[in-house]
Amino acid sequence: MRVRIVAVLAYACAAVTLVVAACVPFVLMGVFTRTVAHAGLHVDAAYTGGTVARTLARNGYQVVVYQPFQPHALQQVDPFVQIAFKPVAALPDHVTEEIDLDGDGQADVRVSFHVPADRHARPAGSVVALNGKYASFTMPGDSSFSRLMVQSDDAVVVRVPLNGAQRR
Amino acid sequence: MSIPIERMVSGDTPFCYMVIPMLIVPAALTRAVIFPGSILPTANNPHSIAVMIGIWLAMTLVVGKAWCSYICFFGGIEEGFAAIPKRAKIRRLDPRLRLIPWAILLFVVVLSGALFEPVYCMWLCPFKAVTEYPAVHSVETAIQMGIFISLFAGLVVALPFLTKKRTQCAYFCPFGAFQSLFNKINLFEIRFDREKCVDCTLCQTSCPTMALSAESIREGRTLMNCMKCGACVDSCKKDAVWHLKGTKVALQPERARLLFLYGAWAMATMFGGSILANSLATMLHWLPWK
Repeated sequence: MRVRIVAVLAYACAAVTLVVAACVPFVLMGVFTRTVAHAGLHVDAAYTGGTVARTLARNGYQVVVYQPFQPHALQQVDPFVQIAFKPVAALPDHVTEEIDLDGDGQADVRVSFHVPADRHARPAGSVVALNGKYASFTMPGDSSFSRLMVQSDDAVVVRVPLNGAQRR
Repeated sequence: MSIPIERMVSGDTPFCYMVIPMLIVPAALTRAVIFPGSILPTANNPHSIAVMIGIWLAMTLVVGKAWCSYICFFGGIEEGFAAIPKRAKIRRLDPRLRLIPWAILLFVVVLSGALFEPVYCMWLCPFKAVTEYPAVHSVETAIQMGIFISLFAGLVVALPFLTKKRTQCAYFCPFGAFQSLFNKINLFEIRFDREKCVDCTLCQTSCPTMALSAESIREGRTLMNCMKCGACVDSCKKDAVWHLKGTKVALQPERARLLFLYGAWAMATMFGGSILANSLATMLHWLPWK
């Protein structure tokens, strides 16, 4: 009797998996997706740039300054601060800005770049550090997650490396 | 084609299921996903992290490790190479090699947790040689590319050709090892009716991932890494059968087989169909006269 009950249960469960399979594209995929999305996960700041610290309004466009990114213990990405200039359509052909990255009222870096007409091209320009907390660089040059100047979505994204002493 | 850093920064990188085991430790510690992409789908990235993990969860519940035989398109590449020769040139493979995927799984999970980067994707994935390979612009990227090409040539092309087995799946893939864990909770399995078995080992020879041993056949079972492809059932002249856990062996095996196959095929066509549709859309987008 027990063997028969177990067999009935097992085949009933197997039939349920078939229903689950049929429901995945219509209902369950959305349910699973929403469950994962509500798990409080976020993409690591090494890829996204982290959280926004403040937004500076300019003539027709915005300069978004992010919180400094500090790597986890053994993470290989160097610390940086991300700045996004957007929207690209509102940017002048050439942008030169002195920007206060840490919110102390003093400009920390001078960022200048040409906005390319091709939205897939990389901007050419430079970042000049105005104090010892940040590192200067020019583009085109070696890019990395902590040192870059690219067009991404509808923004020109610049990542300014923090100098060694600024590591957490 | 390599993924440019712009796409990684903007969250447009499509999610790869191979990275799932490596996400566990960093996500448990900080809730951070150590893969470029977006959690929710966007116009530029329908294969977002939540969507792909959702699909993987649903499919794993239904088919367990059969993901590897019915859904994984990477495994399909080596299965293609294994199908070319009529006979295997290498017939004896050390069964201890089956432990390597577990070692690699442990290695990449621990190291990814420590370094906060998907170590397997960055250094070991053979399929990077033919998918999102890195642009070689430094010694480091040259070494990465060398590793990807060597692993692809050896494990996905040469060894499957010589052995007629899915050698990358059997001896290397950490995601396959991870999926094996779900065989423990999945309802479907393959069993051998010991009363009818004549120990001809045809099933063992036909298994593409070496998921059968003499001992397991004596016990009437497959090993934990069985991907439920059904090759052993097809090759068996006696009674290798589809089976539902908890039931008597060879009780309605045809019904069990159909219940499994309908689910597996539903999953395979859904997953494969969406990828094919996206691939076609991408190709059409790049047509010169468009």
